[in-house]
Amino acid sequence: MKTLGIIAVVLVLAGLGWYFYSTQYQAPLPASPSLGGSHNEPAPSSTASETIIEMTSDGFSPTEATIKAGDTVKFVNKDTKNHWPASGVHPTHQLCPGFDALQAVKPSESYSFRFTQKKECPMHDHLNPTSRGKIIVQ
Amino acid sequence: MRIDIYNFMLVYLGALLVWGAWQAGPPAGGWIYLVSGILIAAVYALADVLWTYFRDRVWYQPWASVISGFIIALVGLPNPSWELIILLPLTAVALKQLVKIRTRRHIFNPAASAMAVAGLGGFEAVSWWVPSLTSGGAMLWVMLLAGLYIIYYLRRWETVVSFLIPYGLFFGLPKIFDGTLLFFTSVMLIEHVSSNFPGRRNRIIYGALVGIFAIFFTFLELDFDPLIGGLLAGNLIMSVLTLLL
Repeated sequence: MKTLGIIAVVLVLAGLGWYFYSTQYQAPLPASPSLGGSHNEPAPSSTASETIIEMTSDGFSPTEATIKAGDTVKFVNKDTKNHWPASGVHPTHQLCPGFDALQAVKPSESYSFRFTQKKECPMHDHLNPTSRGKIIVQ
Repeated sequence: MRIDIYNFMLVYLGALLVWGAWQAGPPAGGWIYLVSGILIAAVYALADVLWTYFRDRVWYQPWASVISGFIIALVGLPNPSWELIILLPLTAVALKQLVKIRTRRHIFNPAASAMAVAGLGGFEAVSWWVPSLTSGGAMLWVMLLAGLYIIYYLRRWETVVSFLIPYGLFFGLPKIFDGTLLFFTSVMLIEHVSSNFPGRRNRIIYGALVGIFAIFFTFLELDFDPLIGGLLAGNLIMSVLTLLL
């Protein structure tokens, strides 16, 4: 009987979690195959609606970006190894639901995501969780 | 045919360390990562052997200690400082030897508890660097097969399933097939001493507790790894409950 009670509590919690997840989900944009522009730029460029964050062997560059709700961030792999940008917390990526490349982004490829909710989104590289940063959506 | 679990885990975790060092390191290979991992395992084994000798006047082959050292090496930082290489295994051994239940069984998973203490002391100690590297690659399948063998050998299906039900339902079932989750459930969650609660029901409750606390810690947004936090909370609460019940 106690076991049944525990299972019931677990299922209720899981249901609440699923509801929370589904109501906060934000759709990712399809990944672009490549990025133009120079690799020698000292800092990533930024436009009104799209901010570019480079993924290099040293991690995210810049590690912190402030954008407006509705803006898109494009993560460009400028390393020779794969990277996997995603929301914190590792490994579930649920603090900003939907912000998850869901697969490795290969060298010279990119992943874009439109942030619609005003909040601070911690980000990390799922393939190297010591590489971290933050997107501040205002 | 059953392969001895100590031999199996030594080869499996050692191979993961070599593979991770090769994958994560600079183009020539991350040999410094490999050396760091071996040093952590060596310090752990030496400290554990000496502690046991001074307490019981017996020498033993510290294969379990090497396994715990490898776990710290695989889950901690790939290139830790000298302080962490020495302090993490020493802390793990001290907690394992001192924080016991009924003077026999250590309460906390040694590797997880050492990394948690380091985190509380201001040292970033958890990265999941090798388990993370397997995500989306062929090594993930190797981890799945190895993990299934460990769970089968230790007979901890009920703990793994009771952890995965709340965690998988909450975060979405596809999230379960992930290197970090596979390593956590098949190696750390079912560490044979700290998860050895008497009776199937207790082991089910333990797994569910770890899952629920891991979910809880995820959304607290603390600077604290939710899986490690959930594991230690489950270790503690279930140990207290088995004493009381």
